[in-house]
Amino acid sequence: MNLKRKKRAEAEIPRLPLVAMIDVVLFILLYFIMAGSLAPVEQNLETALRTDTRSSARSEDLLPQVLTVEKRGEAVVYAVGPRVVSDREALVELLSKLPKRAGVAVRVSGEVPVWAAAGAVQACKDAGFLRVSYVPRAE
Amino acid sequence: MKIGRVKKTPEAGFDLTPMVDVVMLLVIFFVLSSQFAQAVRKALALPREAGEAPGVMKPETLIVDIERDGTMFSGGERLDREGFLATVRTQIRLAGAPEAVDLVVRADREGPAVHLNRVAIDLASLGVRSWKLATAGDGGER
Repeated sequence: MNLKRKKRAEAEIPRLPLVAMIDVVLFILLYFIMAGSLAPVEQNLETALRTDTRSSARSEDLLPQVLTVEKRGEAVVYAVGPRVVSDREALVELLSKLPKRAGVAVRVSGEVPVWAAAGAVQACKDAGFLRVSYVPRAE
Repeated sequence: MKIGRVKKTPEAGFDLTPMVDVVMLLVIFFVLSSQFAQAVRKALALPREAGEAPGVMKPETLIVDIERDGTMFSGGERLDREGFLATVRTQIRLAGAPEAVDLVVRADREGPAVHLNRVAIDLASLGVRSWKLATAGDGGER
């Protein structure tokens, strides 16, 4: 007869060493938090101007209003027919008086900086033109 | 003299399972919400114009960067004129039609418009007549 107390086999709970995994996961989390916070800044700054390009040969037939952006001397000027203006406010005012239905074609000389081309398109939109076409001047 | 059995002191431990769950969810959130497309864009000084509210940037949107000297880049890779035309042709094929191509041109604001004009003429020659000019959104350049 066995009088010895039976040793109860204690079922051990298996444990996973999670410390290394938590370290790595926290590093990944930190990286994405840093990268994610930087990305929206540029996204918020960037907006887009929709433009339709038409070949310069056909532009006058399709669009009655033509805004020309060119350089005269060192200055950038905006011309609508015989009227020439050199600043944005005057350009918006001039464009506001024109009929909007047919839209406007912005003919851009290659000499002017990109900001002037973008400014001309923006001025057309600010003046209420819905259809703004970018027309590159063949040079 | 102590003869009795030595009592095993219980090991103190935290239950880390909920924390790991939350951290994993945060990692998944940041992985999904980060926009890696922007990482390959060139750091350019864009025209400071209000522009229009940017819509949702589609993954298939072709972004072309034009530096001040006219050097073109797309997806971080330098493009010559032939490369640019080939890229746009591929985009047209993928979109199904030139009108369906979604294209954003990012041009340096101080660069001459001749480079932008060249791109516009090339796009028109391929039938792509609608594209977007990226702006910095500050409003009112000079």
